[in-house]
Amino acid sequence: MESITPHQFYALLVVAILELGTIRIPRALAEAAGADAWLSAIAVFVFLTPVVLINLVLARRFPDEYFPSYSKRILGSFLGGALSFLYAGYWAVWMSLVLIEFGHIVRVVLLEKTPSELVVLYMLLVGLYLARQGLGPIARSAEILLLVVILVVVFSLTLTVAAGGLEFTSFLPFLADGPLPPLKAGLRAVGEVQGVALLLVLYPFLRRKAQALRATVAAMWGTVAVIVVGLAVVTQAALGVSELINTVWPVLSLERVVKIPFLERLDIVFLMFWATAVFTTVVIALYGSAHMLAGALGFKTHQVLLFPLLVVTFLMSSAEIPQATLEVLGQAFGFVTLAFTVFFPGLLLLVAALRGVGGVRG
Amino acid sequence: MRRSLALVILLLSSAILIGCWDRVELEERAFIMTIGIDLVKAEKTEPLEDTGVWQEEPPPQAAELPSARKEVRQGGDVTGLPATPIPGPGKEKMYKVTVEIANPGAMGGDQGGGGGGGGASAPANWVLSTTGDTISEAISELATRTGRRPYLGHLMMIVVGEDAAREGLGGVIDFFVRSGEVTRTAKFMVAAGEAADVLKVKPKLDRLIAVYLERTLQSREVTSRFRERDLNRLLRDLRFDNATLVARVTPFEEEAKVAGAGIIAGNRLVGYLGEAETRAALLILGELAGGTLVIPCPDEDGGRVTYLLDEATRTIRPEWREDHLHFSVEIEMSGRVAERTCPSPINPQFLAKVGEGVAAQVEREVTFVLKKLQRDFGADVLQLGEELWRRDPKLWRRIDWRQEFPRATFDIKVKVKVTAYGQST
Repeated sequence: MESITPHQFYALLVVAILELGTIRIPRALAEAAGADAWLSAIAVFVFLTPVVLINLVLARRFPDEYFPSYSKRILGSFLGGALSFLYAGYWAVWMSLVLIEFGHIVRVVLLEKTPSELVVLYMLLVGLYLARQGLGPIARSAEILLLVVILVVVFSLTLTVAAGGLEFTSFLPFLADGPLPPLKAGLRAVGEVQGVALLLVLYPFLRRKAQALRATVAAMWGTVAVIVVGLAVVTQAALGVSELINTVWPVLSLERVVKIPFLERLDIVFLMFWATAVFTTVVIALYGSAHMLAGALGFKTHQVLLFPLLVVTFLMSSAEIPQATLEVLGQAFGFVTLAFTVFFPGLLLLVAALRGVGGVRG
Repeated sequence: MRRSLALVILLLSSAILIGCWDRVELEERAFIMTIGIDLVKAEKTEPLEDTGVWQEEPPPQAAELPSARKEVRQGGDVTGLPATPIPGPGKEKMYKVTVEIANPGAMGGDQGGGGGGGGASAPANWVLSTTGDTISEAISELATRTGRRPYLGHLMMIVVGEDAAREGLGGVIDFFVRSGEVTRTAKFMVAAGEAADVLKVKPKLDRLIAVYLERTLQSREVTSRFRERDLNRLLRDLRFDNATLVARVTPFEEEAKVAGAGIIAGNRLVGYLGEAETRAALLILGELAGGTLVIPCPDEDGGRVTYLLDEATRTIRPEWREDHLHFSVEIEMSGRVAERTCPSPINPQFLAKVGEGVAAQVEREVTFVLKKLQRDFGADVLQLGEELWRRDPKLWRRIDWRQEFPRATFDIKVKVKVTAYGQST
């Protein structure tokens, strides 16, 4: 069995979760919580903690077993297989939605005439090459690309703060309607954070499992939360709440507030590097999807399934979905995500406990 | 090894090939640095089917300038204010878009100097106008005359002519916000007259109007006679209550004067504040950064004292008093004597009297501006509503701000410190 280090586990989790939702989320929070949007960004991660824990506890119950295998042991061969199949489909759809949105952004901001299908195809092809090699190369790439992602976030946040356009009155009135609206907004946005369920795929590969919790906490709270909350705070301070809810990709609009001599289009620079975050998400989701599918169908290796998955994903991502419809789909997909990050893992955990499958003895 | 090579080739090819469709050489781009937007009478347009007959010109209709009070009836979103319809140019009018295109070949060397790369004789900019029903249509039209693709990634200035601004800013701004090229750092101002005239100015020290206007705006701390707004800050203001103050630029032949402020209410230009009025408005907005204030010499006839402002802060406390809103405005200023044309000796008593004189003048100016905005325009361009919303959202929700603002009362307290008097006693 391939294995990954705790640091690779951490890097994989972070780059899987950071994608386009990260640059979109401040708007959804501001719509629901107004000036307390930044608080709801923190609330998202408070609510995500039990969600992550459910997945981690489930994975720890079967430390050296893949999800498709233990889901069959818990729910029976048919239902367990079907569940793995569903996960594969969920990640394929997620990938497609991410790629469609990426195509939209690239067309609006960067390449007006270049067919976005081509951009998506290249990303998928490189992703396919990497995913074919197994989780090891993906993990090593994730470690390097995570640095790129962190650097671009730090770079853009520093520049925005240094540019001096932040108005901290944007955070007032503070809790105008009490703590409920930001909490509600945070709860609603839990589904917007995708990629948490990939933990179920990654865990069995982890070499020193005792460090799983530490790596997960470092990924979710130490990195993803810091980036998401940081971007939410600075975006709100720079754009103001009323303008924030009128922007489609607030973090990209934030980059357009900064002007540096010889680097006037900071949004393009940001997007170029943020493509890294999109790429890593696609690779990990592609691998996860193939891994689940192989388990569900009883294949020995995931490799043969990568190409068909790539074709399906490419066709789905080539769908001519208008920007407005994509937004609605994205919101609806948040509920689907909750099924795969909360409901199914919770159900598996419950049934496994009731039936005495897995656990300390294993 | 072969696999690594394949990966490298794949990555390299993606880097080279991806952008082919959008490849535009630098010399094929028309770098638009300044945009001026005016309103003109609609031109005759070609009918859809080419019958050889021109369409009838729509009957001329006088541009109606709605009363100022009606302007302030629209609003933002989180605040609970109703939304604003976006006013456009209407059927009988169209936008005249004047652009300043930079000539990179003539930009070498110092600004105003000889130039390099064969640019000494070539003009550094090209100013031309085009028309369209919308801004984007007019800008697309440019390509038919420039032989180059318009590029707005370096846009520095957006100047809106008086007529276009009076008609409505919503239709003007939408293009810039939606565009994938325009950055939010582009500065925004209204022209007293035609925006096209501002772009025709031939500055003496700068080769581009955009650079000239940008440098003029940078003198904010010296003069405090205008309010600088970039696209981002303009949007922030307008999204709240569709009201703000923007810099006014008046074109002359060889210069453009940036002074005073356009009053935007209900997304339209409804009037102007003069230079001193703008300074008072900046004080209430908490944006006064410097500048001078001249007062008569205390206890003397004829002489003058110039007070040079170093720093100003203000605190606004809104409260509900019986049947109306009341704002307590406390202003604290710190500065020095920059000039004195009277024989009075400079001593603590004199400086204290200068402070009192400045305070009295500032109080007068601030009170005047507030009255003017309440009485003549009913426009909260000083963002007092926003202050109320932030400080007391419960009170904000109980009242109808647009009804209450003209009735609100103010209590202005000004404290002035004179900290120094230069190198002469």
